[in-house]
Amino acid sequence: MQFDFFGNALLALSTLLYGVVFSSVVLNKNRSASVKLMHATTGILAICIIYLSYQFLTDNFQFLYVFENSNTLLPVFYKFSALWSAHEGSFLLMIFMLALCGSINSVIIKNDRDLQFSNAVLSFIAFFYLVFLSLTSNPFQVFPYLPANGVDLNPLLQDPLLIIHPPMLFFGYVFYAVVFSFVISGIFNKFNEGLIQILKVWSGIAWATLSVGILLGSMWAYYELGWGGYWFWDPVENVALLPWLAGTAFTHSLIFHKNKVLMSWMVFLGILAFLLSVMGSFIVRSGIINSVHAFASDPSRGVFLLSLFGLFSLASFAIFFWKSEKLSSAWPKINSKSYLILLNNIILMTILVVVFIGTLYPIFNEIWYGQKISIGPNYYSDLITPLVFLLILVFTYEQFFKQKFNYKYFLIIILLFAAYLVLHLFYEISFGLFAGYLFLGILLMRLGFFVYAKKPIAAHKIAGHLSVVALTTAILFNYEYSQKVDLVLKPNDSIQFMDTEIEFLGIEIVADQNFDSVVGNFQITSNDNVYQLASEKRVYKIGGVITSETGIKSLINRDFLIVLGDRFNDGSWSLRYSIKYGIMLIWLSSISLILSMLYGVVRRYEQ
Amino acid sequence: MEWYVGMSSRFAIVGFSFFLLFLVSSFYFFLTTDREVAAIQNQEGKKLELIDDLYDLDGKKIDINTITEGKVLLNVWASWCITCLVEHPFLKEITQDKDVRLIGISYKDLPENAERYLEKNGNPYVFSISDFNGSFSLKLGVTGAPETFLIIDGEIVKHRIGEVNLEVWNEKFKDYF
Repeated sequence: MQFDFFGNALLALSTLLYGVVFSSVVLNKNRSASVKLMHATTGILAICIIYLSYQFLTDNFQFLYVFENSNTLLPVFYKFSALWSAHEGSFLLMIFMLALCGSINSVIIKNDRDLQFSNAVLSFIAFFYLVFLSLTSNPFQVFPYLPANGVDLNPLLQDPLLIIHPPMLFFGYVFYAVVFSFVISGIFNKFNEGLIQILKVWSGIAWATLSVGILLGSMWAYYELGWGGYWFWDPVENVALLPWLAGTAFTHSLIFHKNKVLMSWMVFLGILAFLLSVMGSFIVRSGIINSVHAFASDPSRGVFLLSLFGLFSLASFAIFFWKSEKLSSAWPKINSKSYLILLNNIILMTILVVVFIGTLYPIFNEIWYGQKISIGPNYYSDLITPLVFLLILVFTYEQFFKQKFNYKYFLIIILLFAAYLVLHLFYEISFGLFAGYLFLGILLMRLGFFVYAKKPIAAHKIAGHLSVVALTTAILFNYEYSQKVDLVLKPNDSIQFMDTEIEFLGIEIVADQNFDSVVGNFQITSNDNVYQLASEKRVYKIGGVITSETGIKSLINRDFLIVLGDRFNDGSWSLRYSIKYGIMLIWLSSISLILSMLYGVVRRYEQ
Repeated sequence: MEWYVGMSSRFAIVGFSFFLLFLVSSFYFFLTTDREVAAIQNQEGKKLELIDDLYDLDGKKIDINTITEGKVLLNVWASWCITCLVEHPFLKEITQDKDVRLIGISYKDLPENAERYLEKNGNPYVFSISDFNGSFSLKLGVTGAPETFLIIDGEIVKHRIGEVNLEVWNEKFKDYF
């Protein structure tokens, strides 16, 4: 295997430049020149990306990476997105994004000291990532000869959602690295008002991006993988959730700055969010956990990434340790706003620990006892559901905590309890759903009151918290009412399930550009409404991979899903038919949650 | 040494660093040791390993000798398993036409669901061993449902992973009956 000179020269040059930027800040020499070098490096990495994309678009299979992830039959759109479909290219894109963030900071941020420190941290990270990329996952490896055709892009990745899902996730990781760089700057310099504003904007962007990434992944699992659900507590999903949880806690903890309490805790969360995202990259890309997402596992790659995780942890905690005496670690007053945020952080951290243990315990179990185990969804849902309700209780209480408590509240609580009993006994509404509706109602009324009284409100905050309650309620709604059944059905047969009738209209064979498919057509009748559904099984022409395309009809309150199984000798087909409630509501409330955060960021940026 | 502001966070940082060290070294150990990945294996030629307490779907204790003596066909099935439903008519056919002693293993299934399945589709089994948590099947080397074992005097002679139909029967099991 040989290396392409041009591509590797660019990689080497950018690695060198990051080394120069880092040392110039640390040695306190030519600092102003370092900003220009940041821009130059971003330009070089952009050329790298364009160069590699060009190889994809021109089908240059001499490049190993192009050979492995593309072929001549692939639509042009996917040839472009194939750039970040595997480990090497996606890592290159991630480093480019890191560089771009440094450049954006250099243009926007006025405080020179903060900018210099942040640039130093970013170039430190980018330097080691580039060394890692060049040595163990070089995207510019070439064959000595030109192969006739490439292998193919993994068929599961040939989906529009999948084109934006992975980059969103690692852009989220990158943005948490930027947040981290400013936290480090704050440790060295001072957490002044300007820096806190920068942190609020960046952590908001990072949080929203990571959320979009997770949401798209969830949608992809639902629509493309046909897993029949939106969240599976799959190790790799969890690994993306960990920095998200730490980031959520961090975003809230920024308020501690106002009363100068627990600044060290805030710093810890900022570092934790970044380290968890690095650990996420390590776990996904080393193949240490078996999962649908596992990239090709190469032990040397894993060891290298693990060393990077160790190095970043060591460096950040050493800095944190030496400088921690400057950071306040006084506790907030009981029943103050900061106190409630602390409660929120403790609950979020508990959820994080639950997810962390559930995800990594199988690894430790294998090391200590040599047994392979996997942890099922019940572990997570049983432990996390009460914690989420506690969290909702805390932030709902936050809306009222300045008010005096009097006998009226007792009356309200008794009335609510009575209402619950009635609803439970006569309409079989569960406690969870009742609580969901209740909190939703309380927050909506509160919002209505603010609007009516023309009080100034932080609309993004109320909208965001409302979305969390709506999301929780939708998840419970889905959990409690969804039904599924396995069927064996012949074409032209029909069968009743719940309040619907499903009819198997027939099978047709369809040929597309790069796959052939068997399409089962179905008709679902529910309350005089008729819906048509097509469920597919695809065989990709190159590699012969078979994938299932679930037939899904989404309505606002429920979805109908049909997965086409195997054909039996007598001409009948096995099917899985499910009715899922609240899926659309889950997507909508998640989107509104993300939009609330983005609106908050825009408002903050305008100030 | 005097207690000063920030001392507690320093202790916490050191503690957390130890945790990180532990994490990193465990990962390192995990990455660098070779672990064998067991492939799906055919269990033919092995001795039948039983666990002490076996119960049927009605909760009655099973006499081990009924499995280890003579020629027995063990069939792993479950009410949630579609392929089991497909091979079910064939199982009924062979138990009616030939002298086959067919014993079921109700694999990871609730007894009431299993009973309902047998009521609806007919019961070709002499009895079914209730293996709710799959521990018996694990010892047997079962990877999923359906699977069929031919046991002669406590030894696994033939093992079929997947559906049994006329073709498979003629190829694997016919000579013994």
